[in-house]
Amino acid sequence: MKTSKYGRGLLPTYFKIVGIAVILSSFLAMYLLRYIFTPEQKPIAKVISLNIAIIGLFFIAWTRDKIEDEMSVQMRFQSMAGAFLFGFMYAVLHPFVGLSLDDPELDISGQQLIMTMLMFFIFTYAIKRKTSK
Amino acid sequence: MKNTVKVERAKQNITQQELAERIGVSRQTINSVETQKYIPSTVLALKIALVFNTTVNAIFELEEDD
Repeated sequence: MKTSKYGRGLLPTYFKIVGIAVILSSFLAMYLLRYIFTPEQKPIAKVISLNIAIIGLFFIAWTRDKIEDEMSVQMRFQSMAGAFLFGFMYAVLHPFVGLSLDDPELDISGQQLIMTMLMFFIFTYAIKRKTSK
Repeated sequence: MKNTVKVERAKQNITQQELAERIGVSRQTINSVETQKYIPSTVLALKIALVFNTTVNAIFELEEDD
């Protein structure tokens, strides 16, 4: 099947299912790595499972719809802009929220930020698709 | 921007799905154009006009706030 020019650069449709499978496998990895790694290596296990989850989220976000057209491209860009703004506000406000806690965590990792932005993008895009029906 | 896509579609007895397939977009896009939630590009407007065998000006009309 010929891909429309609007869907170029995006992953094929079945990658949505691959993405969901990868996210589920990250939960499994999180569980299994607890037994494989020693307590000192736990941060590595956390990083590995988080990275797997990010890859899964990326697959879902970067997959084209069955029909990609100019409106879906516009919605994608609007959702991306929203995710960027949300990520910016998250990065700026997070330390202040952390200060109000007993055990403040003032820094956010790149993984946390990209995961939040990907989730925001997927959620916003899904809402936009739903409301356009 | 106002448009008469729905009227033209009714005149020619074409469903949103049929029109969408003819011009290679999703049904949601046609629905959004008809409800004025989405303003189509020049290319899409020309394709719509072509299906109805008319001009873009006959289907799409500028409003004061455009």
